Amino acid sequence: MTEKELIAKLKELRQIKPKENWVFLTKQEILKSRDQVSEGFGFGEALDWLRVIFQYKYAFSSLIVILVLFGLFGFSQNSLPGDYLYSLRKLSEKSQAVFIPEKEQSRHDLNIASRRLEDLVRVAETKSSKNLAPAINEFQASVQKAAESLAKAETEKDPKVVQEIALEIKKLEQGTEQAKSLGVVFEKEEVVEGLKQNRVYVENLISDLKTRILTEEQEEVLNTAEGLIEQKKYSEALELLLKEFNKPADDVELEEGGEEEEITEEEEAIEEDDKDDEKEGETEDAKEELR
Amino acid sequence: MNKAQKLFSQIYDNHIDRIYRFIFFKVNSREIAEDLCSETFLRCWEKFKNNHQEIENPPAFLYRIARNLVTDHYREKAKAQFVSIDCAPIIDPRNDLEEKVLLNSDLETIKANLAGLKDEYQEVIIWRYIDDLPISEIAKILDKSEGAVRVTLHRALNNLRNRISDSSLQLDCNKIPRNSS
Repeated sequence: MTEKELIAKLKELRQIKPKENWVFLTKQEILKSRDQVSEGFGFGEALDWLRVIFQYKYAFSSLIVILVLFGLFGFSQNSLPGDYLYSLRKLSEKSQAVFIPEKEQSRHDLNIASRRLEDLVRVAETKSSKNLAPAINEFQASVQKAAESLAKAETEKDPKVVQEIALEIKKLEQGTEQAKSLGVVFEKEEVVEGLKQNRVYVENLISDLKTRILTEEQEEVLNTAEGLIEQKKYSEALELLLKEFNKPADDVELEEGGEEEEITEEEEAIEEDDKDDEKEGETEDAKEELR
Repeated sequence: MNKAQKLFSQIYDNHIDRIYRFIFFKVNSREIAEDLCSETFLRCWEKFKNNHQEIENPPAFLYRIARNLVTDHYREKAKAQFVSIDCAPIIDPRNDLEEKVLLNSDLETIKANLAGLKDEYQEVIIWRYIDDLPISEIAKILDKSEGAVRVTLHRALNNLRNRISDSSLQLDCNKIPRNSS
C-alpha cells in the first residue's frame, strides 16, 4: 500500500460519526445544565451581569436617568407646597397645560385651584407648619389665575361647561370653608369671592338659566338679575341668582304652599280697606231699608 | 437562548463529529466514546459559560479535554482490572450496520493498526488525515513547531504503513494451509 492509498483509506474513516439523535439530546442536556446551575444567583452570575452592564454602559446609564426622572415625577405627585419635589410637580402640571386647548383652559385652571385647595386641607389636617404658608400662597395664586382665565374666556357659551365651572367654583367655596374650619386664615378673604363676582361667570350663568324651564317667580328673579348686570352690579346679580337657584327643593315647596298664608302689609291694608268698604256698604243698605 | 448558548451551540455543531471520532479511535467503543464525548463538551460548556472569551481556540481546548478524559478512562480501567481478575471483558455489541461493514473491510485493518500506534502518532494522523486539520492548528494543539509536527506526521504515517504491511503479511502466513508442508 502506497502512502497515497493509505491517506485515501484514512480519509474514508470520516464516515464514522455519532448517532444524530444522541448528538441532539446531548446538546440539549448540556445547555439545560446551565439553567439548573443558574437557579441560585451566584457570584459568577453577578459578574456576568456586571460585564453585560459595562458592555452597554451608555445605554444603561441613559435608561437609569430616564427611570430616575420618571420615578421623581411619580413621587412628586404626592408632594405638598414647600416640599423639595413640589417644583417638579408644578413643572409636570405646566407641561400638561401646554396640551390643553384654550377653550378648556379656564376649567383646567379651576381644577388646579381645587387641587391646591386639597393640598391646603391636607396640610391643615397634618398640621405641618412648614408647608402651611406656601400652601396658602399657592392656593391664592391658583385662584387668581383661574379668575383671570375665566375673565378671558368670554366666548364660553356652552351650558354644560358653564355648569361644570359653576360646580368647580361651588367645590372651591366648600373647600375654603373646610380649610377655615381647620384653622386656616386667608390673607385675602375675597379670593373665592372675586371669582364668584366674575362678570363672565354671571353672564354665562344667566344664559344657561335661560335654556331651562323656569317658574314665574324664577323668571322674575332672572329679569331682575339682568337689570343688575346692566347696572354693572355683578356681585349682587350673582347673590340673587345663587339665592334663588341654589335653594333646596323643600324650601321651594314650602314657599309654593305658603303663598296663600303669607300676606304682605300692603295686602293686609287693602283687605282692611275692602272690609271697611263692605262694612260701609252694609250700613248704607241697612239705612235704606230703615227708610 | 442567550448569546453564550448560541455561540456554544455553533462550536458543538462544528466539532461534535471530530471529537467523537477522536475518542472512538482511542477507546474503540461507541458507548464509551459517547460518554467521554458528552463529558468533554459539558466541561467545555462549564468553562465557556463563565467566560467564553477565555477560550481562544475552541477545537484545541476540546481536544485537550478529550485527551485528558481518555487518559483518565484508561487509568480507571487499569485499576478495575487490577482489582478483579475474574472480570469478564466488556463485549461491544456493535450492531451498527456501518461498523459491520467496516469490520469486513480494509478499513478495519487500518483502524486496528491505528489504535496500536503510540498516542502521539495516532493523534497527528487523526487530526491531519481524518479531521483535516491544518499543520498550524495541530502545532498549536501539541504546542510544537510546525516543522516538528511535519516530522512527527511523516514518522507516524511510515509507522502505520509498516504495521499494516506486517499485519497483512501475518494474515497471508495464516492463510497458507498447514498440510502443504
